Amino acid sequence: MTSTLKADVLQSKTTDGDLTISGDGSGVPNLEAGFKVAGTVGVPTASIQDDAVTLAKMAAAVDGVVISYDASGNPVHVGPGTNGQVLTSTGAGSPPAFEDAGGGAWAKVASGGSGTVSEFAYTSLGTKDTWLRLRGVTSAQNWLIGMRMVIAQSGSYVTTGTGYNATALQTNGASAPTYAYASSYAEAHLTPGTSSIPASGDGSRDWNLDLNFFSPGGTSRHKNWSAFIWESNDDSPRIQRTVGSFDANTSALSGFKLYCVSSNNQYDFNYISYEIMELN
Amino acid sequence: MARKKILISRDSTQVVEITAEDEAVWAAQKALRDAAEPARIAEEIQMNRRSAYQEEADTLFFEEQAGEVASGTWAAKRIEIKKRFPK
Repeated sequence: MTSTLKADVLQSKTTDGDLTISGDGSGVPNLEAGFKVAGTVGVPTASIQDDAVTLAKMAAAVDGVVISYDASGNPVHVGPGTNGQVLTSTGAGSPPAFEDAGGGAWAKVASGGSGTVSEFAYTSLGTKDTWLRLRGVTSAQNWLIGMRMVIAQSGSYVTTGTGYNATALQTNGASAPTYAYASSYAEAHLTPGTSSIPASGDGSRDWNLDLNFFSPGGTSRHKNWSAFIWESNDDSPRIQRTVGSFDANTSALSGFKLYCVSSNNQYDFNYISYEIMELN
Repeated sequence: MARKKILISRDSTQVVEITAEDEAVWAAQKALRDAAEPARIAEEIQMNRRSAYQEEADTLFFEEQAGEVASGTWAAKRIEIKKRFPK
């Protein structure tokens, strides 16, 4: 039989003595939902023990979010962002945000070991600055060959049209620059004049190419590129710098291909390794 | 042994054999190169001569006028540059 004690105030009998309310056996005191403490609904901070709030006691949320605080000082969920993004401060007065990593970091997008090919093509030029490192290049023939480059737009190589000419300037270590000029054919001569890729049988020399494209996805008139080429030579190492632009070219670049020629015929070449990187 | 080309993208790398279609493209490109070669070489020679004149000969003209170098030095340098980049 349920008994009910009705009173407006329940107070300990002894001054400074605690008031104990307890159940019998496994029974516990059962307070009505929305109970108050000192006149206010809910449990005050002082009544929650340190380290008492476990992860299991926290409300569930979307996977990947983190907890921060808004301008009013209230907790908010941030994220989850997308793969590869980093948590970035947005300054005082707002929560941080998941954003793409800031500039200055080169990220490798492709790499590989040695090969012998007739063409070396990259088909993923985008909006970011792109850097190719091609190491240990030699001719697969028993004679010198020259390296050329053709660009692609929307997946198609540009090989005709004077508006697409590429011009290379190569210092070749000489006091005066040596020019390699393609007047009617849209290919860049990376190794003009007598500066050619040595035969693999030479044994004491090979070429190394650093090829950079600057904002290839832009539509400004010039798509600038530069080639920094150095020859590993047991006798007299030398450096060449080739720079150029795709004149009157107002469409984004989608790729490029490298190949080697001798007397305008195309021949195989060797390489030891390659890496392609993008500037984030 | 069949000749090959390497096709690289962000997502994949393929090494494939050169096709008859590739060979046809190369033949067409060679024809374009051959046709353009005389004009290209002439342009290249002219650019190289112009560069060498500016770098090596022009100052000699004024030095010769000032009597700082022997008479004929400037002309000799121009002849030497022309020989270096013959037409």
